Amino acid sequence: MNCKSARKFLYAFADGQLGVQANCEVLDHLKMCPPCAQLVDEHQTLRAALARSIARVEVPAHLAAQVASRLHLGRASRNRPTWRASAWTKFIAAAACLAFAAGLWQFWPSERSTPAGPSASPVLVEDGQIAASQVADRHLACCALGKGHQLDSLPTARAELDLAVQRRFAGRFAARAPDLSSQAFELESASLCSARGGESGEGCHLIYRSSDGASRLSLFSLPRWDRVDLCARLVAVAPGSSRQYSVERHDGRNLSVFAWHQDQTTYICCSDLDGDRMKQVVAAIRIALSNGQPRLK
Amino acid sequence: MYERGGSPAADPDGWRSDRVSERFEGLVLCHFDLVYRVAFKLTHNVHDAEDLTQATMLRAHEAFGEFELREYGTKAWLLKILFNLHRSRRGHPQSSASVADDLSVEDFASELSREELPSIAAGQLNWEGFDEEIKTAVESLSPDHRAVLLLWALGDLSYKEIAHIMDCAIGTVMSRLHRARQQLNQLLAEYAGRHRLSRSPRPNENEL
Repeated sequence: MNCKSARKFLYAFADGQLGVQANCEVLDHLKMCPPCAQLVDEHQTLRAALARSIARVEVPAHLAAQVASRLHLGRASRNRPTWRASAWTKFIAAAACLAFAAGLWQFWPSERSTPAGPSASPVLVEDGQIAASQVADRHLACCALGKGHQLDSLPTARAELDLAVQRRFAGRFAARAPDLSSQAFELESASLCSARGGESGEGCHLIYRSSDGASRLSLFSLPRWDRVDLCARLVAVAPGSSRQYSVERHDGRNLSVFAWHQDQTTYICCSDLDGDRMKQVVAAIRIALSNGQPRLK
Repeated sequence: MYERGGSPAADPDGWRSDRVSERFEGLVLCHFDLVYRVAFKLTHNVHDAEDLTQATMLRAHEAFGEFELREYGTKAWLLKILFNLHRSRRGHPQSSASVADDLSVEDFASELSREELPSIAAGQLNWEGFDEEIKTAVESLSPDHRAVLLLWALGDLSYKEIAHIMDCAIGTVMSRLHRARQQLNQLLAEYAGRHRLSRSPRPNENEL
């Protein structure tokens, strides 16, 4: 591929829209051609600048409550239980007002507060308080969809899916679908919902099912938070460390949430496995992720 | 998450519809801020943006029962509702995508103009240093070009999803994006030339 043929594909490449073969061909050309690589960089830089401009739009504080109250009227007219409506209003108010600002600072892996290694004990999280419980919510909501969680545009076979998600997010972060058969987990479904929620929504969510059918395990891949969010209070997490949470649900169930940075990507795992088993599975995932790493800028 | 205070067994029907509401809360409301921001970028007006956001959320809530997540995901579904409402408010009839929808991205890429993609200032420019100029340049584009750039800038929508939201063909998305990029590059290169912008990065600790 020379410059003339590569340039027709550069924007589509930069946007992660090419098939595997075209992607590889463009990539090979970029390795040898700084001017074309520069065009790809500019394309991505422009997108980042536009994304910043969108993110800076302030959302009026009253709007979420206003919408909630209109939806509440709709619900009341259908004789729904009123306690629900109040929970709904609270949800929107909470979502609009605190969401991630409050939650993720506490949640996200931070070197300062993260004792690395297997001896680290999980931080106990009260349901409904911080982002770890939002991950747990997302895990449960998506598990409840069963096969309905699978996005039709994504392959169902794991190896194929692994390639498809790598390609989709190529150059941005390393979404992966690791083989967990050594841990007796098989891929059940894949979608593009995100653990991060908020306005982002970007990321990949895989659900694995244990071979005895008793457990589900979520694996989220999303862009590294400390790259997206330049909050000065956070520093990059030390390589190899992860943060662990135990989320107590109102129904008495406990869910484990592990989050770590690896390969310019933040990975989050959530499951109802007990702590020790979860550590084992997460360790296996991390090893699988570090094998055959995708090429990143 | 909201099971406290109520007994599902006492009101099985209510409970089932509450499960739908719970799904709505989990899947749709996390995009609330995004919907408002996109609405604001489309309308350039707080009042219209609020109105459009409300209408989008109400329409989404009504339609949620029929909503199939499979094809494009919640975000694309919500944005499509938003774009349809915006279009009908502007008095534009709903267009329909052409058969070209079925062609691949590669097919379209090879159809694009063979002219060189312009690079602004040959890599000497730090775009992060002039967000305001980018904003001004974007606002000078036509509404369709602005809209496609807006959806593209969200970062996680495929061309196919953008085409679905805008109700046009993938080829149209690609050519609009291409043209918008060319116009922007031209405007920004002129700006860079006038102001002799250099590579020096600006501290951006307050961004996002």
